[in-house]
Amino acid sequence: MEFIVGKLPEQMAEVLEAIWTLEEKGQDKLDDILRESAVQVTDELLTTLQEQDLITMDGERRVRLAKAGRSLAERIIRRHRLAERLICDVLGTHVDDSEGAACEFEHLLAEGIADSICTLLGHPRFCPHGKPIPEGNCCRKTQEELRPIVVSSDQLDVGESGKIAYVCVPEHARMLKLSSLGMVPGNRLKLLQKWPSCVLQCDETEIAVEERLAKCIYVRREGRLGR
Amino acid sequence: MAVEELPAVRKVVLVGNPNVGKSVIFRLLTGNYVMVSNFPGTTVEVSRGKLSLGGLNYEIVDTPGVQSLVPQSEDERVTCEVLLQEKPDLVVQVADAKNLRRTLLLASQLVEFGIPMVLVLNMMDEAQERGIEIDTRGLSNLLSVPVVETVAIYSKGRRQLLQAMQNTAAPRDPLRESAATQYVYSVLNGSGSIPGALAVEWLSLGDSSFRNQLESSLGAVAMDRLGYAQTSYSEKSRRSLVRDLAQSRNDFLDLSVATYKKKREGKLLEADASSASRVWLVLLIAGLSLFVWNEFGAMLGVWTPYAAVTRRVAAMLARQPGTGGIFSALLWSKASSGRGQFGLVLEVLHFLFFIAPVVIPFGILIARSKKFTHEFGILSRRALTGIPILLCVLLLLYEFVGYTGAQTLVGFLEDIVFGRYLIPLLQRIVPAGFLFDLIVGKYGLVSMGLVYALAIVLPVVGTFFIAFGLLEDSGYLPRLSILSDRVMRWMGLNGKATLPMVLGLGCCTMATITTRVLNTRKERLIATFLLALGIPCSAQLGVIMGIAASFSSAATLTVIGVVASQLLLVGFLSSKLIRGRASEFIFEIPPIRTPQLRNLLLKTGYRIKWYLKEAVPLFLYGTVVLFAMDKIRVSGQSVLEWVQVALAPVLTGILHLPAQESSAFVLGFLRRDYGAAGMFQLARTGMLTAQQVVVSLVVITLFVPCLASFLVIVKEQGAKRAIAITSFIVPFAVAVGAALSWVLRTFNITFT
Repeated sequence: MEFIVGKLPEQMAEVLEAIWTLEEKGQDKLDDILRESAVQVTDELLTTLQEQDLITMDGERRVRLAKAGRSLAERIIRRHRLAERLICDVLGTHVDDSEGAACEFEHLLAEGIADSICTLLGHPRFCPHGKPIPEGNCCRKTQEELRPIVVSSDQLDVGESGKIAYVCVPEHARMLKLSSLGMVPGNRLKLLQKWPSCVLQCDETEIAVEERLAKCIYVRREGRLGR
Repeated sequence: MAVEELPAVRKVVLVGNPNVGKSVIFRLLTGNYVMVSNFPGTTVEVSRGKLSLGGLNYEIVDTPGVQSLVPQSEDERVTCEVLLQEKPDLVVQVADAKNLRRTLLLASQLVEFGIPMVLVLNMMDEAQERGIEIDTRGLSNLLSVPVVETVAIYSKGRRQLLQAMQNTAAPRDPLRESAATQYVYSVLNGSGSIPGALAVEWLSLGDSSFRNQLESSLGAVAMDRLGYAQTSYSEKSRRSLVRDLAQSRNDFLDLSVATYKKKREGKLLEADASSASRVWLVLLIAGLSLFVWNEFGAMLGVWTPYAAVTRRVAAMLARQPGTGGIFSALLWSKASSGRGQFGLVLEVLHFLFFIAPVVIPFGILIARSKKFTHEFGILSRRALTGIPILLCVLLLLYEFVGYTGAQTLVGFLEDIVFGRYLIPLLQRIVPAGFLFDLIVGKYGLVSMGLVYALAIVLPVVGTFFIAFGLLEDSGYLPRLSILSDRVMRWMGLNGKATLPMVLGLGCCTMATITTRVLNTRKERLIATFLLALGIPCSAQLGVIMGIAASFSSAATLTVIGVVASQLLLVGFLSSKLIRGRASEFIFEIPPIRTPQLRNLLLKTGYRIKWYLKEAVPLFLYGTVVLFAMDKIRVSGQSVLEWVQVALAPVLTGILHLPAQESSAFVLGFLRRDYGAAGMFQLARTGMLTAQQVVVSLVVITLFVPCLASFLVIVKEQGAKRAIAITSFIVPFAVAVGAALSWVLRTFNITFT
């Protein structure tokens, strides 16, 4: 039985989401899932999910995502985290306030719109809380048809500059390091070189950063939209 | 009586971002020299000096550079500790005038301490070149602190700084009014005067050892309240306190930079492409071509100008009578070495063909043309141009240290000064017997100790220090860290570790201390380990270059290749085995600057003094130990002979080296360079075959860290790790040497 994400009952979606989130933390106990889930998890609900081959549960009350359930959960999580990014970056809402809105948002987003938003935001890799956003079809396409407005700083052309839109580093300490070097939203950044290491210019300072870190700094391109 | 009559000492702390010139200001104020380079993180320890001014005595404290007062590495933490624990009377914030945002970030944190403060905008010349104007009066009002403009390396602004230091008042915290900050202070409510907003950020770092330190200096009550502030704030507003504090700080910075800084674009590269610069550029290119021709032509056996001229001059010199006093000896010494005869005449030729054609036009361009300097900065960090530039730098270094240092100066000092004059003179004066043996015998204090220390190692180390100082001050080394980051990461380090590694080529002792700039414990341990294992110090390097110059370049490449591959291998393995986290590479790249002759001389002088103080006594002790081992006889044989017998299975059996080398290895325990010097002598007197030279060089390079660096490792990493490192290295060095020796013998590679 094939589900379209938007049509999946909201409660089932919430449970799948909870299982995915716990799996990221390395947990799979049913009790944790009961606690994590945003909705009341009834036995009936669990039975339905098992019957539809979305999840499996073993004798020790460990819950796993089955193949179909995994791909559904992946898409739900993707929409949720994209929604968070959208709310934080574009609407400028604080991360701590984005959660509730994102929860409602995720159920409204249709598949195609999720990809559009993903493209608009420059295929972000992490949500504002620092958790990974699953890739969508749009991220996998090698030839990008629409040049995103917001790109990670390593994707700028050499010599191109832009304003920092957001910096996404999971750890607070490293975020501080970047911000003390002037890499904070609103500041201008110029990509000076990509290889062997990225060199960015921020104010009058040239800063060498490894690629992995440059990917975490998202920049709004200046003076060009689209191609 | 009179204890209280002593004039009170006012404590002044210098604080600032890395590489803004705190140490230069320190020298300006106190007259004390501390190491100054164009490399972020040169200062890793606190230095102190004195100043008396207007009838008051000041103690000036120089601190390691910090990005912000929320510390990210050990050297940054030192600065916070000084501020918290030493309760200074005055803070002098030294800033790079070009970077107002970062300056104000630090300033906004410093004012929270409530300590009177002076803000020094240093490097005003560079800011002006780039068309940056700063409203100093506005800044001064904003923070209510005096703001002084300086160009410290030219002592500009010293008077104004001294004046400002005498009339200071408590600064104003421009962030005090922000809602989040006010909340913190309302919760703290007078539990000691502590920098509240900053303390919240410190706690959020989650570093437990730092937390304990904070608790001792802030007090438990304040800590509790800070914790309470965080939780109660987020309960009330559903927002995180740390984030809100950071947000208001960022807003303040954006606004201030927009208000107080003006920039006119594009002044830097305007119109200095004068015709004179163009002429020098052509000369530089011609010089480089000549250099490359001479260098590679010799390796390939092609006709080169240098070889041709040298042959003719040597033939002319051969017709000279060649006797006479020190003057003729100096001009055309006939002691033979790998490149034939040498002496002042031939040395000048070498200089004219190798070093001068590149270094002179380059130096003039760097000093005169801003555009060239800027372009060089770019070319040297790109892979395509950076690697050839690196090769040129290494070859020049080799010519200067390996030839000028290890050949000419060593030849002159050892053969002529010591060999022909000093030692024969002493031998005539000192009566035969015990004293004679002790001073000028086989293991004599002068004939061995001083010859090794002053005639062999000193010229090599001295020339290296000069070259390294130039590289440091120019700002070239940080660009090397860009090129090397990927390789370093393979070894569990990152580009930032290039500084300790390159400094290790000077002396591992200094370098081991400098590993403090690295961010994690794992990185520090790996860097220390690799330094101890395979980074040859300048004396070894000079000796390697010196010996290698007299053998084929294939021999040199083999030594370098084997050592480098072992470093990579061991680095790779230890990055997998040592637990912990590697940090990401973020590194500030300073602009290329013209090295100041004065600083270079001061720095080289300082390092040579350090070498004489640290190493020469050890050389003399070592000689006495060898002397004693030679004299004391146990059942018919001297102790030294017993050691040779004991080492024989390893030395002659496995490594196939002559037994005489055992004394070099014994010395190697004391100081690596001492051991290398011993080997240098064996090689110069023709006691080793090329194969043995290669094996010995590899083994002595990989061999134990010398006593001094062992002690530093104990200090920095603890005795357990130091012993573990050493007990890995000794068998490993022998094993690699044995394998190499076996390969060379089996495939009959003789390097001839």
